[in-house]
Amino acid sequence: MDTKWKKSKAVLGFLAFLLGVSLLLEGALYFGTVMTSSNSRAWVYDSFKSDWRRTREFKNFASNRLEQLIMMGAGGNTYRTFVNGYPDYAQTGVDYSKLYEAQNQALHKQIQEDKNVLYRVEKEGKVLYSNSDSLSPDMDPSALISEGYGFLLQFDGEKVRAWLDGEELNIYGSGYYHFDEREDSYQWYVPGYKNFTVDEAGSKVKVTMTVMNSPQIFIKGNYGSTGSDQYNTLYYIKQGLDQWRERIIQETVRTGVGAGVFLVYVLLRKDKKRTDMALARGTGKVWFEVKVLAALLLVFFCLPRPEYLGEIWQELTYAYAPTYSYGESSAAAVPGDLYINGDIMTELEQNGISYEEWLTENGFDDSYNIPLVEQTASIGTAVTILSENGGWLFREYLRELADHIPGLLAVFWGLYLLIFNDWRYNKRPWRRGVIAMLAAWGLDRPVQKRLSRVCGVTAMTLLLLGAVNMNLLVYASSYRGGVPLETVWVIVTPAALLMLVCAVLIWRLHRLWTDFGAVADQAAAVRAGELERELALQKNSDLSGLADDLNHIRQGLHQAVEERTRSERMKVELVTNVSHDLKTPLTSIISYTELLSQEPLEPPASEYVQIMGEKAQRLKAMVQDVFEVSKAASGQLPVKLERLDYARLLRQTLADMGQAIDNSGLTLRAAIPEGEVPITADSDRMYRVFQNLIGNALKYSLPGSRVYLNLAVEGRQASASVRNTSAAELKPGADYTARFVRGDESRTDGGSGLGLSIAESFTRACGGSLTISTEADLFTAVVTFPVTEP
Amino acid sequence: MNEQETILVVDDDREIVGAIAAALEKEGYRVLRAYDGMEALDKALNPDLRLILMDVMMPKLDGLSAVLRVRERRNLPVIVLSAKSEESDKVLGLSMGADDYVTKPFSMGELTARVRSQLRRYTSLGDVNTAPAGMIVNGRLAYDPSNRELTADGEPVRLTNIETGIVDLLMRNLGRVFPAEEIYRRVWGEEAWSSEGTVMVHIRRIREKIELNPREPDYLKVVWGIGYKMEKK
Repeated sequence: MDTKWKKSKAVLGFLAFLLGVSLLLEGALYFGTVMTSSNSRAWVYDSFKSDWRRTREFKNFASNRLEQLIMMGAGGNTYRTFVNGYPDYAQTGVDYSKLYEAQNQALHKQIQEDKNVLYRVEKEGKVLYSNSDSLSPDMDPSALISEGYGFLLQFDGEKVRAWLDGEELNIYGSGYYHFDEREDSYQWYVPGYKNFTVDEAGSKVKVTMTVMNSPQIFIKGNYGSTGSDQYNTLYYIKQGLDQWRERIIQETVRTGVGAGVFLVYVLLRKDKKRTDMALARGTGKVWFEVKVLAALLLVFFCLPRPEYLGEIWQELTYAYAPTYSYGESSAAAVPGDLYINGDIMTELEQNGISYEEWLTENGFDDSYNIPLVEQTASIGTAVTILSENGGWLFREYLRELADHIPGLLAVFWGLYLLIFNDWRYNKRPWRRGVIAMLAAWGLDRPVQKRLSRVCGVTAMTLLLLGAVNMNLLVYASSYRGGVPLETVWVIVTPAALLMLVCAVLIWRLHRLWTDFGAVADQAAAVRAGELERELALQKNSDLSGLADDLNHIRQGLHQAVEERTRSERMKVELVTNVSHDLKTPLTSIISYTELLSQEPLEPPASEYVQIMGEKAQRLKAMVQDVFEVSKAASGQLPVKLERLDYARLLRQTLADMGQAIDNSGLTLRAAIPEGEVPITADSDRMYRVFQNLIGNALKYSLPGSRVYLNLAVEGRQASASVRNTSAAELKPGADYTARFVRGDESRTDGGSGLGLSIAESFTRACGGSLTISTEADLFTAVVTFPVTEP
Repeated sequence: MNEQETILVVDDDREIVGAIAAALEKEGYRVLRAYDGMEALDKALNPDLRLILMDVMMPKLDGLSAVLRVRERRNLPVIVLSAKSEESDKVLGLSMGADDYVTKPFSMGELTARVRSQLRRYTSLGDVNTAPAGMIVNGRLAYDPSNRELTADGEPVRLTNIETGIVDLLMRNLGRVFPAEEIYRRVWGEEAWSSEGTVMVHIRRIREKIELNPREPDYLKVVWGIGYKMEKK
């Protein structure tokens, strides 16, 4: 239940992150593109106006329409209003009035069906054009409000007056027209200002115009001529405003939701991290190269490719071919020019036409004086284009991105998953990939890997330098006339040779490292005591000298160790034989002493026999001890390891030695925990260890003092300590586990002097450790074993 | 009966042979002496012979080979004497056909006790252990669970109630190791906090009654750090 909730929290956190960031990204992109364009800003401003007839767009429309209507009345060239800068034929002195009238009639025919705007144009009291009978020059401004036409505009030949829902508007303000793009100070572009007057023809015209509150679509089926026509500019302006408003509200809501969801993520960010890690575990299994390729493909296919990218690309590709441009400056090229010019030149060359011929054919006479300039376009040109148009290109691209939100999100999350998240949680992801595998192939020692990495970086640098070189070479040869082929060969051949040499070197290096690894392995093996292994390298290896040396060292060591082992074995054999040889006469001594003690003897003689018997028994014990200690010291002591209870071992030993403890006159204070303390050791040997330690304590303690036996478990270590106060003064720094060392040098009737040595050897043979420490007259022996896992 | 029993003592060390012979003759046995393996084979043909004490390391023919050769002809109890005290040597000796293994230097008391034990088993129980049904036989020891009687070398061992309880538990579970608490719970029938000392005291008493050398027990053994067991022979 708990883990389930934890899991769903992790998933929830991640989904919140995904959705929140997606929505915020979309919002940021949308508002970014809208706010960076003044035109868009104006539309947004207008779309939120309480009355659409007070917007800049409406003013613009009404002003334009009025100008058209006045021109229609005055017989002007309305067509000119559509095509700015068209030659003014009036200046040629030819009378075009008939043509203009025809044009104006046509325009009237077009716009009269658009009942969104009702108009009436009269000249000198005569109505020329009108699409409604309910209009008159001196009509009541509120007359048509009830019919849905709230806006009324009248031009009396001099000035304009306008009413909105019966209320007169202030058209002229200060009386001067000035152009200001900003929505709130945008003025009516109508005549009547002190600096915007009417000509004679215009002053004879009176125009009345009303506009519908909510524009509709009007279509006229002119099937006899042009087919169905419509002229609904106003309707589309209104619709555009509505759409802007809707879109803005929609995006605001989406961004707001995104922010809310993002907040949920912030609260669950720790849980989300778990999902991230799980994802990273997944992506960690994928080859690095696959991930990089996938990321590149995502970027390539899912992001919109702007058209100008193609132009820049052309710049780059054409950079290596001679290109031509008109004009004096070759640097001031703009996108497209080069393309056209390149094409033209290619075409000309193919058709065998000279450039001059082409110029004349196309009407460019000498007055144009366009010289043919050879242009060496290059990366530099592309950079120039980018730097000069960077801001604009960026905004353009943002706008394109805003239209490709799904693709953008796919790229964003793809990169998040494949690159960002992967690199964040997977340590050095490039180490799991084809290249990394190839680089580490056969090289698994750290030193080899490092060397391989160094070489990889070097190779990459070389490759890069090579690429730059080739680039320069091709660039150089791209000059008109170019570099002679021989020169290219002179440069290319050594480069190829150099690369070959590099490849051979790398191959040799790889060999060297492989051998290096073998040498390192050998050194590690020798260190671990594997002395019989011969180091064999590849033939003619650079390291053969080192390998020979290493082999010699190994052989020397091998011999030394073998000799030592042999001498150790001989020593043990000697001790074993000596102890066997000692046992035979000792058997006789013990036997005859026993027989003698059974004979009736007089008091002094019987005492002597008793002493002989005791000493013979001690000799027997010593012979046995010497035998055992020599075996243990040479590591030939057989041990039978089993799991046993340390606490019980001590309790049993105490119970077993109870008699001796009672007879010693000492007090033994034991602190052994109740529960089981499992260790792995040889049962009989460990009994001997504690028999020796406690026996020693009983033998050498100050009469009447206390002996302490403690068992303590600390972490994974169980330590039993025997502490006693020595009767004789303890020599500081003496090694008590050394053979034949006793606390009291002057005593000759004690043990063999091997007790502690045997205890130490046995403990070590069982996998424990015995440490002796002395402080003043306090003697402490600690036997430590690792606690065995149950 | 004892005075007629003949024992062959073999050792290349004449003094040891002399000492053993003296001790055995004092016990009332007749002793034959041999000083190498070949001589031992000759003397082993004596029909009165009941037991052989054989040293391992001897000239001409070593002890273990001699034991094998003797065993080809006669089924006599053999006690091997050796200076080698290691477990592996003992196992080797016993597997070659010896009935007992005594390490040098030994005490005469223990040696004569072992001789007595072997002879008693050989003469009174026969060389094949044909124990009545229900008897638990373990080497020198035989236990009758029906009347809770223990015999060592055929002779009844007098045990107290508690001792009989311990022997009963261990003889019924030969080779199994019992911790002191379990022995206490089963024999005394109650839980005990510190039973180690009590159990150890009883074990030691039983050893004195059944073991040939109570200091180095063959049967009732302590497994240090684990518990107590009756060694399976």
